Amino acid sequence: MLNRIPILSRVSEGFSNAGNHYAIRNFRNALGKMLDSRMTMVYASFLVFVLLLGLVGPWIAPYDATDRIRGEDGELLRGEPPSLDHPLGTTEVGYDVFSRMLIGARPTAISGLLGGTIIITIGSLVGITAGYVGGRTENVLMRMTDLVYGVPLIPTAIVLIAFFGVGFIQSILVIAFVLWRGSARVLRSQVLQIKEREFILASKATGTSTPRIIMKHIFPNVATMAVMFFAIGVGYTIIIQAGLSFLGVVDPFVPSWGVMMRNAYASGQVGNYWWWSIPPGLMIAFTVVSTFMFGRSYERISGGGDDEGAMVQAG
Amino acid sequence: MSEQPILELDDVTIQYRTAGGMLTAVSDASFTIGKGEYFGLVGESGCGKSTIAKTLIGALDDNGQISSGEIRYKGEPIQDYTEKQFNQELRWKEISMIPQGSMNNLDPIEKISNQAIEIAQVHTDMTRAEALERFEELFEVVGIQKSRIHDYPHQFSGGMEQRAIIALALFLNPSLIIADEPTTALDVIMQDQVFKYLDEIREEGGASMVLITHDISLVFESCDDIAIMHSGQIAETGDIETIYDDSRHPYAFMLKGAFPDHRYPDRELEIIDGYPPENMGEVNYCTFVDRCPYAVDECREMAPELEQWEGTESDHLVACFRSEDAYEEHQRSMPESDSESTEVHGDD
Amino acid sequence: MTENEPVLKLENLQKYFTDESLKDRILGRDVSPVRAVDEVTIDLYENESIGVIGESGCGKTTLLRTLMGLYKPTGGEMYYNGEPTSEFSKAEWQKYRRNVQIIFQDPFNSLDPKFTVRDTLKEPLQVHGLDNHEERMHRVLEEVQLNPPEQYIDRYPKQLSGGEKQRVSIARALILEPEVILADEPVSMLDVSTQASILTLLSNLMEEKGLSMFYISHDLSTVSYICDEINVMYLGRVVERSPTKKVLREPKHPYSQALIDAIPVPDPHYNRERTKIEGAALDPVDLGEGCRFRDRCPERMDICDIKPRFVDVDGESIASCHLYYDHESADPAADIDERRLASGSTTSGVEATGKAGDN
Ligand SMILES: Nc1ncnc2c1ncn2[C@@H]1O[C@H](COP(=O)(O)OP(=O)(O)OP(=O)(O)O)[C@@H](O)[C@H]1O
Ligand SMILES: Nc1ncnc2c1ncn2[C@@H]1O[C@H](COP(=O)(O)OP(=O)(O)O)[C@@H](O)[C@H]1O
Ligand code: SF4
Ligand code: SF4
Ligand SMILES: [Mg+2]
Ligand SMILES: [Mg+2]
Repeated sequence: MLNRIPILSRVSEGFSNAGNHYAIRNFRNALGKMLDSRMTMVYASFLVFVLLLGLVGPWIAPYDATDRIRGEDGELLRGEPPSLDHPLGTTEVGYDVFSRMLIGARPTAISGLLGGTIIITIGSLVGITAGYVGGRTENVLMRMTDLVYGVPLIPTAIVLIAFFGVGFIQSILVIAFVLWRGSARVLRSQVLQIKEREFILASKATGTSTPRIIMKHIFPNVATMAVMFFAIGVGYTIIIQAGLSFLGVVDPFVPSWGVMMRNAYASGQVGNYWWWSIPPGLMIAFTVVSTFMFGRSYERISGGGDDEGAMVQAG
Repeated sequence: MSEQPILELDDVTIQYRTAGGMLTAVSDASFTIGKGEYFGLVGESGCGKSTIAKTLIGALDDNGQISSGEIRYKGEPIQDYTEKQFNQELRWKEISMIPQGSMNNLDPIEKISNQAIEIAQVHTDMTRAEALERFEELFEVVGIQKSRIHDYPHQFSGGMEQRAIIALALFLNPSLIIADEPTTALDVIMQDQVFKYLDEIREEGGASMVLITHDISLVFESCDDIAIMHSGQIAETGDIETIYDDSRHPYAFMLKGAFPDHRYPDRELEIIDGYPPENMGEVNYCTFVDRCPYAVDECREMAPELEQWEGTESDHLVACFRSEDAYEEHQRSMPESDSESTEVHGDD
Repeated sequence: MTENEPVLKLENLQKYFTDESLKDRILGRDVSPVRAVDEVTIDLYENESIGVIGESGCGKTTLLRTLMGLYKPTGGEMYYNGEPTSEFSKAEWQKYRRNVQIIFQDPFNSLDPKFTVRDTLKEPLQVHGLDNHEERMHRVLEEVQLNPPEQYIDRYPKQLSGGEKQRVSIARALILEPEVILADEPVSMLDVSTQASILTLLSNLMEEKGLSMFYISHDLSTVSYICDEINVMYLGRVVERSPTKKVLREPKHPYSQALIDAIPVPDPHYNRERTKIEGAALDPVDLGEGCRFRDRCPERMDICDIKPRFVDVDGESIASCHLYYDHESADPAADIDERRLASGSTTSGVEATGKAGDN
């Protein structure tokens, strides 16, 4: 099944070379099953496509982000509608929209991946530790999470970013340092359930150390949840970052899709230059929807089924 | 039995639609339950007991269907009844159910009395006061103080909760009670308390009961008739004494041998190797064939039909091509099986 | 370890749970503890199998988890080969954990759904730094009759039936070649046909490997296939200890009688009377000092408000019930100093018989 998409098949080969490690095996199994479902295939392909763009976009883009396009007559091509030379037309200041779209994939991919990674790292560290260790540690960690829950994301982000400067990376950090809270809560409750299950006790009773139990038993059993939260984190970071760009609090010189939309809007010409604002908007929407749907179907497919045995009992 | 039976199943086949095709959960099952009779349905996990129970009250899962056969309740075919007919004509007042894993079957956020009133109002024209009075009576019957009808389910112990459900099942005076593993989640003493009340109900002579369980000893103690199922097929049915003394289906006598009896702690338990098969589509073989030490080729080619066993006068049906030979072989292979010399408990 | 020393010895072992919330502490409220295990004294010798039976909530699982070292006892002592476990170093615990293994009740929960059979069996070997993994795994799978091992070793729990899962659990417990097996109702969730084969497997393994076993169950009819001796527990206390066949034939304590009389008998010709016991067991909180069975006991007397001593009834059965000793001539101090008596009467049968005789 993996072989349908060349890059995934290579990825999966890489996995098998990495040995038959249980976590990798489980991930690969779930991925394989997921790609059996057609809609998930569509989302997955789209995400792979965005990642590829992020990788090679700037190289294959016909123009630089800041190349101002001039026509044969040497005039700046301002707000040209799509044509063969400029498939998505040009912007008000004469940038090639198509090139900017290709180039803009990278900041989008970076903000998504970085944001998602931070979110799930903090979220699972806090959630799993709180759930497994319990006691005072749990109290402190969960109070902290509650505190973060009280933080209104957008206003805080605006204030912080304005205060510390409008850097692109800073904006991602601010988002991620707030959004881990959801995954921490849910992972903690998952861990609370899992740690009472008898296979954990059996492992403890053989003398397995706590870190090893967490790594080998707890983590793999919440991994599907974690993957889902990672995907959702990616989606949220992208969309909130785009929102912040749109509000103009983020570095306007990083040519992300969000910044493109903002520029289109700021030009006061959105209504006229639809080719300028609609493509980045659609790309953001598709990317975000794909991450959400991909995350959900991963969770559904690989999370379900493990416990189905519990139904079949004597009688 | 001149009187009209309460329930008759005639060659009933029940299937579930699954990703892998039609899974046959029950194939060509037939049995009859008379008025006031307690009927035990036994078999291991997954053999189709709950499927039959759910079918009888029209609560088969959405992907399930009665593919063939007839189910008659008091002579009236009900296999094609709609949800509405079940609700208006049968549920609670004619057929009621004590479901499997009853511990979670009461609404946790509603007082038990309110749950009873709701049932009464949906299915009868009893007034609130009448309903409460009747429910209080029943609480006394099952041995709970009547003042406790206004409790919430979580205020009850497991055994009390189970008895409250029995009270609900008796509430509208049904003619047939279907009890699916009613005591599996309880301790022996509580189990015995629950059966004490079920015995009393029988003595009052009202309802018939289908007792579904994997524990054959409960059926031997509490029922009149028994059917032993294996993987969707009824292997053998008859009255409990006949089946105990003279069972002829290999699964039936092996199951009896596998069952521990605390009176004979030294008796060796019989082992039934393997697991029941998953039956897809039409079942035209004996489902016990892969586990049966007496199987012959014929057993794979055709499903054995339930036939009257000649040696017995009462209704005693066996579905096995080799019941005669198999039984003899089994008797021979058992080392002095009848001398249960290690008995520790004298019969009272 | 001397010749006749028990492998495991529990002396007045006690595990109370106090769920004291912060609020209680601030308000200085006294919270009554849940006395889940209350002064239990049991010896387990080599190649012996001892059963503990009782109703749900009587403390069986708590006792077992304390034996596993998952709970710290709140009183009493547990000795392993004569050494008190309360003084164990980390290394000694690790050795204990290697030699004392557990089999759980619920085959559907006792295997990690993300682990194959191989991963499950390998973990204990890695934790204890043993080699020859493949060989050991194959051997143990053969021992639990998962043949051929290759067919099972790469399966996930959901690809195994209930009975097969339970065999894997047993294999995990055996792979370190332990001395003691703790079994928490290992067959209660299985079908009868499977139950018989697991029981047979367990009792054969015990014999072949000279294992000792602690077998916990609420189901007396299966206990009798495994255990030589049975302890009947009620609300945290052991109320009777007798050889298995003895307790089945002639239970002494009124609770044991009720328990055994309530077991259904698979024989329609046998006319068993339904139980006379009313109600359900209480929670082991605030029960006062007297006999814990007194609110349901058909034989209850006034004196039952005092904690009954453990007495040897007839040289075979030991029971803690006022019916079995003569109070007239008893030393009044004896009723107060139960702790000494409870341990005295069980650590040495001779002494106990002597005492009962003296009375
Ligand atoms: N962690 C805990 N905190 C507080 N009370 C507990 C705890 N664990 C057990 N208990 C209480 O201790 C008593 C004994 O429980 P335990 O689980 O040992 O019973 P059991 O005999 O194993 O029952 P079952 O047959 O249902 O498994 C019960 O009253 C229970 O509610
Ligand atoms: N909703 C369903 N969809 C598919 N298969 C089902 C469904 N419910 C039950 N089954 C299957 O039907 C068979 C009989 O199940 P059940 O009647 O619950 O057995 P029992 O009550 O005897 O344990 C089993 O193989 C079970 O897996
Ligand atoms: S002998 Fe044949 S028909 Fe009879 S039970 Fe065995 S397999 Fe079925
Ligand atoms: S001590 Fe008293 S209450 Fe307890 S079991 Fe004996 S007779 Fe019954
Ligand atoms: Mg069922
Ligand atoms: Mg328990």
